[in-house]
Amino acid sequence: MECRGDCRVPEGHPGLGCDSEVSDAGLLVIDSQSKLPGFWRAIADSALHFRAWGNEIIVYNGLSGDTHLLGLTAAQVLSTLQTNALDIHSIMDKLAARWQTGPDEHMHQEVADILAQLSDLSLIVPVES
Amino acid sequence: MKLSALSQPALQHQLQYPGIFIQTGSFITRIQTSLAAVTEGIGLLYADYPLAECTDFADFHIQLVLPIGLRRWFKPQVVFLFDGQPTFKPLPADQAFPMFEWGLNWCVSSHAHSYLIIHAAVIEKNGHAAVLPAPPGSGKSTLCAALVTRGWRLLSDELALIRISDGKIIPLPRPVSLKNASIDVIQLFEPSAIFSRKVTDTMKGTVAHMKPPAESVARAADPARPGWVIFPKYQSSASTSLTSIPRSHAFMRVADNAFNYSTLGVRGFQTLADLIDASTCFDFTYSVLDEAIDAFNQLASSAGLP
Repeated sequence: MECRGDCRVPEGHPGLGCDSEVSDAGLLVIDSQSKLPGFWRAIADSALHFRAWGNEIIVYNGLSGDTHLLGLTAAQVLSTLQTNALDIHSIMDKLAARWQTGPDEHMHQEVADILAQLSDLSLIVPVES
Repeated sequence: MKLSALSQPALQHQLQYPGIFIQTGSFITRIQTSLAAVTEGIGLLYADYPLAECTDFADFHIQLVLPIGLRRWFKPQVVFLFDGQPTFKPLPADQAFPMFEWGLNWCVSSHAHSYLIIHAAVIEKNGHAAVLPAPPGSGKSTLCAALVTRGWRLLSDELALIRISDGKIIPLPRPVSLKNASIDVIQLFEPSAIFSRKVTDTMKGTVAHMKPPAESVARAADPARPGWVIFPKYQSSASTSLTSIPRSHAFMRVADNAFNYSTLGVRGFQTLADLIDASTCFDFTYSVLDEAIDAFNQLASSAGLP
């Protein structure tokens, strides 16, 4: 099994540890100021397999064979991109509707981080707008 | 027929040729050897195991032999053959019996892909199994050995076999591998336990194997339902502590201890997810075996079973 940077690993776990900083969303913090493509979609539906326990979701990528532990927000972003290719603003609108709140700068930053990370994990791909 | 029905000379003769066909759990292994240490270990620890007819199908064909050439005589070595081919680097000849045990583990973990195979001990009480995944040095085998001398059924000391078709845990009761201080700990804890001779200077230090309870061997065809996934850790002077952990974290840790999770692809993911779904998951720290056994017995009682 491979595990990439989004693993939120219990303390003391020997094999899957990640050294990088973990964000509130449960994903590694990377440079979200880098230019992100306009639109994103999830990889093929048939390749993604989920199992949820509370606010943590395990996702198995059948294309790569990798398994990832996602926080709730990351899993919601991924789920949102399974049905449509969306840009970051549309994703924020959908999350805001789900959370019954308004999109704000903090959310923008968080979603940008998540998109970059999900892309790095090959769970989402950019598409032409 | 059980192996114990063979006299020592008959066992020795049959092991040389054509070999014995021994049933361990779901597997039949044909074993051939003329090495006295292996013959002695098998006679002592596998007495309760059923033998299959020599004409039966065998899942694995293994031989333990002395190499051809100088190392047959000078600092003699032993070679493990699988289907007639050497599988590992030779070991010193006095490590022949541990090599047999390690090689048999390899046979299962490398070939039995109708199961999700986890590096874990498994014990059972009241129909519910506790899977104890842990890296070497965690005290997994010591705890497992103690529990099976106090009424828990041994399903396996090393390999948890989760059947993909229905998620049940399939027994593979074999001798319990103990090393270094754990050997004396268990000998003191249960003086009636039967052990193979200690073998020193192996890659794991000093090792010895404990004979599994006869009842566990007799029930090798009875699968168990998952009940708990427990990560044990021996810690000197620590108080006994059972701490609930999130299932998602348990999933990742068990996957990291699985032999064939990647090989199985999505079937491995689903099988493991179902195992975790059906289990409550804990970290377990202990230093006193009696307290550890009490904690496990309370778990079994709290499952509301008869």
